[in-house]
Amino acid sequence: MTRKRYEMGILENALPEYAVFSRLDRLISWARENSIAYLTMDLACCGVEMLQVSGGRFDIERFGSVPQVSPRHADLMIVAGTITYKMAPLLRRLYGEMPLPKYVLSMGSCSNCGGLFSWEYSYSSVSGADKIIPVDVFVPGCPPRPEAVLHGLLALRKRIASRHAAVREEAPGEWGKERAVK
Amino acid sequence: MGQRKGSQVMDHAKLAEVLRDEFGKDAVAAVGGDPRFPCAELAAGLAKKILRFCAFEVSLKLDFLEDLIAVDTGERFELIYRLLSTQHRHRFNLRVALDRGAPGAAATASSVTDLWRAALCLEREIAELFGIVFEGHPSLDKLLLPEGWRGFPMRRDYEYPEDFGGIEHRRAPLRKEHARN
Ligand code: SF4
Repeated sequence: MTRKRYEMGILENALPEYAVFSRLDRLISWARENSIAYLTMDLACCGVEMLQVSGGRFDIERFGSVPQVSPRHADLMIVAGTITYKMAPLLRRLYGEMPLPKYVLSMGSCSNCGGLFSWEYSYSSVSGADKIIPVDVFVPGCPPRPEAVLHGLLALRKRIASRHAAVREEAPGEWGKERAVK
Repeated sequence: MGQRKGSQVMDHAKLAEVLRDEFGKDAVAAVGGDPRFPCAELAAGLAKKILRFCAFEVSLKLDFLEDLIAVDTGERFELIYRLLSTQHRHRFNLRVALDRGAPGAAATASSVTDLWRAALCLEREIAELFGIVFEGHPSLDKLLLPEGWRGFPMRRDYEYPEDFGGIEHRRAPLRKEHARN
């Protein structure tokens, strides 16, 4: 933890043990940004690249991030791959099941804007994850290298630290109600 | 492919001869194609009968439906049955032409699920992508597309949807203020 960023001061000898002072919101965002468990939304070829990120070589765990398979335990959703119209309601539902605060990282051209399967070329895929859920970070590439995903994660951490990340306050399940399958 | 004992490999000329013997002169409209994948076009009215004959006739024994392909040529639909005989080791593509019907309406064909169970999924897929209704199929539910899909995507006159399930299909080009950042 860097002193400058959190404006923490360590008063040596003034107190019996080491004591750290900070503001509560800074402490909370520090805790948040260092333990981002992410939901692996493995939708297409980008998913393979996302799995690489948690492997030994790129090792996302050194940033305190671990893959989660349950949305109830996840803080971040990495949308990796092509979103079809068939998948879109499920994506929304999983997003609704994630507890607040929640963040979304859109990985790859497909989930940024439709990419190869954008609206001009495909009838069945959603042109961009931001059409259905709010996205915090977009990582470009087809597929992005694992380093790019790590960069995206670091960008998200910066946003959380500066409390810019969009924390949405709607009650869980709102999205589902809106999109109830007829 | 290796020959088996008691098997007889047929070429398309022989196939046409056998079918014309059985169903009359008009049963096979045209034969030809790559000798490794001989192709025959069947008369539309007799198609189901001929296919049944192909599946059970001793000298043909086309017992394995490898694939079922639909084609929209613009004027008509074609169904191509890729059939293989596991006994005689010969393989034929049998083509059947279908009426397109009115634009937007479904065309009809008769199902071959009673001859080859493999057709269950193949016909469901064709039904939703081409709008061809297979009469006699036990259930033509959607297989790949989401429920509530309008139109038949693999037809030539298909137009992409404006939206589906409340999600707008089109994506606006990047706005200037976005491009700057
Ligand atoms: S962006 Fe490229 S690699 Fe990623 S899912 Fe789309 S096509 Fe596959």
